[in-house]
Amino acid sequence: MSTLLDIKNLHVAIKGEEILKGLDLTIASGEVHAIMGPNGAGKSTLASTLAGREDYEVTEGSVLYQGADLLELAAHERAAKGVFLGFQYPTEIPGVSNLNFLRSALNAQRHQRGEPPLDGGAFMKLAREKAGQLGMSIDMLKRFVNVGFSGGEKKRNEMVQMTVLDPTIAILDETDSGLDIDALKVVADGINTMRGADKAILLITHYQRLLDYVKPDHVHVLADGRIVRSGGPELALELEEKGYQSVA
Amino acid sequence: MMMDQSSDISGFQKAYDTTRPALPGGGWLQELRHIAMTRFMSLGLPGRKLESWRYADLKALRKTPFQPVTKAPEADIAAIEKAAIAGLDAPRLVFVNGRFSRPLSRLHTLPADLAPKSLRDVLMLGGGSIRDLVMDLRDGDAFDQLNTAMMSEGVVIEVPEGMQVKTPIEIVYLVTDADNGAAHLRNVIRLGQGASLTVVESFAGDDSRFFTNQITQTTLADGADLTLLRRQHEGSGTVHVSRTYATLGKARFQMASIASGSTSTRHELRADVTTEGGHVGYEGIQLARAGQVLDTLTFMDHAVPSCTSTQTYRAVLAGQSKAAFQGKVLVRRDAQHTDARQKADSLLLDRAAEASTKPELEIYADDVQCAHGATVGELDADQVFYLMARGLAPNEARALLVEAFVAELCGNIANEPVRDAFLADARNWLTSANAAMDAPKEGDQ
Repeated sequence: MSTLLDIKNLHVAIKGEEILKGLDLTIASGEVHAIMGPNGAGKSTLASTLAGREDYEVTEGSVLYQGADLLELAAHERAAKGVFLGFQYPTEIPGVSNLNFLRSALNAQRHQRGEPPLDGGAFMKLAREKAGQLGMSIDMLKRFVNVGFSGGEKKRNEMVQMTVLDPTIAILDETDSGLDIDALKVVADGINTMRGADKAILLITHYQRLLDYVKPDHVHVLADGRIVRSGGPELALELEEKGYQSVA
Repeated sequence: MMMDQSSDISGFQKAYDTTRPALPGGGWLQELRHIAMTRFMSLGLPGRKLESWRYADLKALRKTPFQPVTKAPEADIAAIEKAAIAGLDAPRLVFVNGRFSRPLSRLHTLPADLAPKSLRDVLMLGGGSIRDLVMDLRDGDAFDQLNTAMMSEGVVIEVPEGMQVKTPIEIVYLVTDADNGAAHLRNVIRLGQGASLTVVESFAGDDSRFFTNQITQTTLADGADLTLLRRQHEGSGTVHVSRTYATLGKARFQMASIASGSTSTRHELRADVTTEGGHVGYEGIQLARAGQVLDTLTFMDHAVPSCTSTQTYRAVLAGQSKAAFQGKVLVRRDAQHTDARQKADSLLLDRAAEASTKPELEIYADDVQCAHGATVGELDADQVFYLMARGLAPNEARALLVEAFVAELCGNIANEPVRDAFLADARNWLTSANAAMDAPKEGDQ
């Protein structure tokens, strides 16, 4: 298996305050990694930094993606190269329909990759199919992006976007939070369809619950800006049982 | 002070004196014009000290002696098609540099009893009904006077009682190769009881230094329904001053406008609801680019009970531009159960841009619902990042968000080609505004 994402000694500051303090993480194609950790450990900072949020300042370290420097790319360039961030709090965009948003995004990515745009018919077929698999109606796709959506619907919408955009690495920031058990299963199914030999998934989660449905290959504990422990799926169970204090 | 002001505008007196022989209308109207011109000269152009004019930019009017255009209205048909609404199969009246052109218009699709008339023809023809037609503006301000003195062209549309006109009537105003020219336009639109009509106006032009001075008088009898749609995209040398008067009974007046044109634009909507149950709706979109001043003023006069008015204003400002909205709602003592709403939102794309909104509510009745709100802000950084994280470049993300901001308003336009034209106007504006924003600024490394 080849290395897809290679993070070395990553330091990130927000408004001068250091949040990540030397994080190392290597993810190979075909793998599913889970990062767990207490609130304030830096989980969301890691996700946003990898996606290219500009106000997050990388002060030290490196991130290689497919062997090239990820940090020098703007957010939209990373997206076109197959990096997907599932937001913990998906943003509402009044006035822009989900369909318009998704099609604009997909064709913007295709344009950057030098691929022809998907026409209306082909796009609708794809959107209908992917939304259907995740139990989202076409009516919801016609609504404004995340406006009036429940917490669960927003997360489901993130999964629809992910499956339509078909990224190489999906970084899912607490995608399981706010979901009831049925929605959790649907979302987990969506994540599992993403698994593949040339793809990788980084699950950021607070709870072990999601890992019952999406089996990770590796589990890491993030505390105070660093990975403090790594192990197999059994580590998640241990955390659930004993709490973060025991391992951090 | 008065001397300074009148010397500033002496060009208008000269323009009037030279144009007078060619102005349509007989004795009574000549006298009306003369009185109006005298009033204009004594009033002078409104200055910034006047609250209702403090945001407008009338500099160019003081500098240039704009002369009404006398040359024959000629234009490239391609320029007219470009200015008009794509895909709209409708009767079309065309004005070039303020002069009506029958050959460039297409009127054959109209039912005979609806046929719009040229204001010039009507005034030339004379007769008693003219007094009835021309609104009494003797107490009006300088632009009312100037327009009354100089009005020479426009349309007169009278929809008979009960006639529901399904197809919109399109009016195109094109400015081309007309430096220092002026158009003093007067439109008269009257709807009989239960009549309905949609009029859509498109203003466009090259970069000639030009002055458009338009008044549209509308009168709606009970049960009438008028939709007035305006696209104001005149060239960068134009000063545009226009006002719409609406006098309505228990009727529905709806106006939607999108403006991105002219160096300086001032548009007013002044509505009087005179019968219980009348409704006035206004939706205004202003798109301002560096160097532009777009000034909007509305005045909703509620004099009788149980009438409603809604106003929604949205401005997007790029570069060093200014946009202002002054929205006045007057609820007189008898106007109980008035429901008047007003919302003004401005989006600044540049730190140098300046948006002003001033709701003005004057309420003398005690059982009414009046609401107003105003916001001025920048694009939401979270929304921009969300779009970028999905693959949209920064300029694409900005464009989508601005389009959404604008589309929420024009999304309500029922006629599809017109709605599409409004949206295309917004997109075209954004493309050029984006290009300006992405271009390296002076002083950048």
